Amino acid sequence: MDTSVAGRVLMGDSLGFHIIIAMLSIGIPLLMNIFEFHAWRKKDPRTASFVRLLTRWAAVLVIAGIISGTVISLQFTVLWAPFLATARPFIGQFFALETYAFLIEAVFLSWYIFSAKTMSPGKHFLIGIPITIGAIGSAIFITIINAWMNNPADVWTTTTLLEITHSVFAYILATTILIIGFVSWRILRTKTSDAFPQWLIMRLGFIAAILIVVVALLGHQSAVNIASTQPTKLAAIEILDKTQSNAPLRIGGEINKNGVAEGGIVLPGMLSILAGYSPDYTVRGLDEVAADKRPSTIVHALFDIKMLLVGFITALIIGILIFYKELKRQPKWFLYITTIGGISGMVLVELGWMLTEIGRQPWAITGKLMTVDAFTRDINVIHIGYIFPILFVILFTATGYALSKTTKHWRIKESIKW
Amino acid sequence: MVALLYLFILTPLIVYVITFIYETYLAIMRVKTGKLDQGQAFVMATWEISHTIFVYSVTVFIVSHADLLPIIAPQLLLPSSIFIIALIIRGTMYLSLFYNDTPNVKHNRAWHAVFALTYIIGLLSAVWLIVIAVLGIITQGFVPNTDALIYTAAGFIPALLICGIPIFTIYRHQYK
Repeated sequence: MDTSVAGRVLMGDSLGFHIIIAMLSIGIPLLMNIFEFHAWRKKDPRTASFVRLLTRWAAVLVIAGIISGTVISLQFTVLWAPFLATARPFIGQFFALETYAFLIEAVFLSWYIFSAKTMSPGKHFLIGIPITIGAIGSAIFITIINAWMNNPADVWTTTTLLEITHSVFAYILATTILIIGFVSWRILRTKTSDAFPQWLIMRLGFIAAILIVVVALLGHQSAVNIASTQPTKLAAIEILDKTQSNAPLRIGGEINKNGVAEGGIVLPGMLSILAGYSPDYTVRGLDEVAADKRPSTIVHALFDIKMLLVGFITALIIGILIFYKELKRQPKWFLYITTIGGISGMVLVELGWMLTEIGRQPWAITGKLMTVDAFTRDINVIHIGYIFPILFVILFTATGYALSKTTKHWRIKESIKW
Repeated sequence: MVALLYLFILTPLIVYVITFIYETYLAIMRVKTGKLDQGQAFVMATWEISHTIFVYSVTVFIVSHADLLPIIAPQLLLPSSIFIIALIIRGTMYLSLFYNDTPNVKHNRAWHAVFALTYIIGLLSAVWLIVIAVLGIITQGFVPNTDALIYTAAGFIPALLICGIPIFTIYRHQYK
């Protein structure tokens, strides 16, 4: 294995773990705020009790996030030093500001946990808000850096705005779906809905319904933006072999040895309509760049899987809203589907991140710095690199263990006073 | 400006090292008893904050010394890898030991010995990293870039004001 490829794999492992923690670190505090506000205003002890559980989860996730975040900052320093040297004038300030945002999140979460039993509900709700602001702020600053890597025309571009909004809302959506999945699994396992009553799935389902509409609209707008700012990425995602108007949308299929797209379900003109709102819109194809400057077309398969999961999650959310009365009885078949659905949200986030990163290759900064040149010279991580994925699996397991321990003896407490 | 920059790098680093040494002391003390009660509350409250402060220091260093990194990075690989391995093991053990549903349970003392060892290894590798960075700065005659310092300084005051009350409250709560 080439040393730069080994470095990419190593960094990918770390980021692949961290993105899940980041996703939950954004989604859970926001849900904490929403449910705590509801509990406070409606004086609802069951919701208040659920907020306590979310708080425990947030505490565990911050620990895991700090570990993976520290690992990433050190790996970045050592493995991608030329990248940092090139990018520093453009993105240095956002690294600095991100740390402040994370500091606010960590400090206020500690305060939030320690004051849960001593502070009035209104004040406790208010000190929970900076946790969400810090978490989202942290995501915004890091996403600005990623957006600049994708479209380095300027720091503040439409790409920046769309990437921030699309990813932040997607994180919140995936967290909401994951919690729906967890609640369903818990009901199935304990064979009782005392702890997680049906209203919880309904309320989370309602939040997810709003979010999926927002995420879908932002996702579409991102695709329109990518057509003009990162045309090679779009061409690889849609395996569009030639620049053309009336460009087809292809589901499945592949690029053959001669560089021609074949197979799959072809929807004529649909890509032009989606990217430019007209069949006459010209979409740039893979033929516009040299073969060694194209990303792997594996992104096409990843995108198809992503869209399949989007369809599944949409159907799931619609199911929750439509079959409201049926769900009061919490049929097992439905709980099994929502349990699986919970995991799919997490997979969706991973796929979205992989599409962004693999789709940009072979560039670390589009058009400015090749990935191979962004990697530190004279460094070999091949032998030492294998240990880190193993350690991350152990850390992931410990995080899951700590989450399960904090949940195991949790019950709805009707006696909580608000 | 360079002096101010190093103030932003070294102050949090010193705070981190002090808290780290204290946590190391507590970890060693726990090896004797096998219980979590020795300083447990202190670690629960500050672990997140002290490690965030460390990341802050590293980030300010990365941003201001980005041009030096390609030269010293190969030398940083081994100590940073050791630091990372110790950190992940320590974090894993921290989650396993401190987020147990029965905190007063007496653990096998070997667990606490490994936990304490990761602190010591972490501390030594951190010192190793700092020595390489300092030697790199001196031998290369490197002058750090202070372009992003204005953002660091501008963010510091509101961050201190925002975080000051919670930090004060948490520490006061711990020592009551």
